[in-house]
Amino acid sequence: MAEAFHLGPEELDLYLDGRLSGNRTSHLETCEQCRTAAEETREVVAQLRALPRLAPGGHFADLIMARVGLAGAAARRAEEHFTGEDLDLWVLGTLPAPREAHLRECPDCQALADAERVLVMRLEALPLFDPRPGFAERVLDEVDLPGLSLIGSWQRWRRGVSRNPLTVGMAAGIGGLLGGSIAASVAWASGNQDTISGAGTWVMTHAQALFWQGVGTASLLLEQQSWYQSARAGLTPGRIVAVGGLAVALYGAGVLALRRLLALPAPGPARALS
Amino acid sequence: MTDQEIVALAREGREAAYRELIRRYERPVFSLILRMVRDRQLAEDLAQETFIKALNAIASYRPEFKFSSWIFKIANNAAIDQLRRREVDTLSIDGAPNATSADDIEATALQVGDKGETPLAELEARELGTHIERAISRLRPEYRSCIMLRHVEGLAYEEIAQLLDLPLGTVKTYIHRARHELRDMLAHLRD
Repeated sequence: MAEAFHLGPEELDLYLDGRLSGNRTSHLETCEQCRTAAEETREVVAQLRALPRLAPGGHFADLIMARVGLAGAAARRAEEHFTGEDLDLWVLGTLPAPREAHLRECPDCQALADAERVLVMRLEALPLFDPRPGFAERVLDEVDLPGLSLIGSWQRWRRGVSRNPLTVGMAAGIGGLLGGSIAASVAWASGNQDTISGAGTWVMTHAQALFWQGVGTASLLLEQQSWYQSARAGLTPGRIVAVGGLAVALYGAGVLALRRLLALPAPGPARALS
Repeated sequence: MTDQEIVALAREGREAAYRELIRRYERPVFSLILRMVRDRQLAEDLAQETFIKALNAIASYRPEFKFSSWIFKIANNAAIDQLRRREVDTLSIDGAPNATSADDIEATALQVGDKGETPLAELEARELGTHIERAISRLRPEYRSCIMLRHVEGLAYEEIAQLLDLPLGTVKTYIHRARHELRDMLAHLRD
């Protein structure tokens, strides 16, 4: 009785596709025989699907084309005159046999192909031209080299300056002025040592007096502040150490944060360039 | 050393790598631009501009593409932009359009022809070169850049299509038409 309800091959297909009706699916839950059949079928299908795809031989398409209607088209093509594509293939030496056959029989295409080959040879023999000497220097003067050193920057700047007569003249003028003034200063100083010594002593004396006067005024102003006495009373050695430690810690954290902020970004994916 | 290896060194800031890239491509780039704009001084400026643009953007160059394609693309764009701006249309194989003195004409004219083995061969080579250069200069700019990239620089059709942002079929059509026009223009030279 139960055997009459076993799943047939079509129902197994439906089951594998997930389209088997509810009551027939419930049959599977109770029938060991049908469940085994369904699992075996599922396994076979899975194995079939896992089979590798095999590639045909290299001339597969040519063989097919030779046997189907394209043979007629190829025959028609054999009668046609050469196109640009044919000339490309002719120059490269990869012209298909039917087109080679046409070429042998068609004087027009022979003339065309010969002219094409000569033209391509002439084009390929065209000379290359040189830009004016110093081309690389002129380009590099305008290129920002990444991570350029101080010496490199200086050399680049010097190259740029040395090429322009105006900047050469200006640089020579500035250099002359600087050199002249230094030489004049040295000459004057060597003849007026007493004057320089007296002026130095006067400056040092007055600078010291001014410095200590400033320190005294600042101390007085500080003592006159309303919070000064209470703050002074509260400054125990322990608190001084704690405040100092906190300040050092804040300074260190600030330096670390700044370093992270100024660090160069890691190289990311290259951007598209139009 | 491959272009990609040199570019990697350039990205580290090695000046010698920059120089090597310029050395490798200054002639092809200058020649391409010169044949496009047909003015030596202008070509010099555009070639310089091409290299400056490329080398300043070396950090954003994508190594999966050929460096040559990249620099030719920049060069071609520079030349096409210039042609659109100025419409230089005079045959400057005889000197730049704005060349007035004999020195200017000499300085701006294309220097064609090989150092021939014999005076006759040199004369023939020069004559042939002149005719070809004239014929090339008469092509439409888009044909001219395609034909130069294909037959002078030896780039594949696919590379040219990618470089010029054109469909492959269009590039083939341009090159076939360009060759057709050149054949017609040079027909009187045959035999």
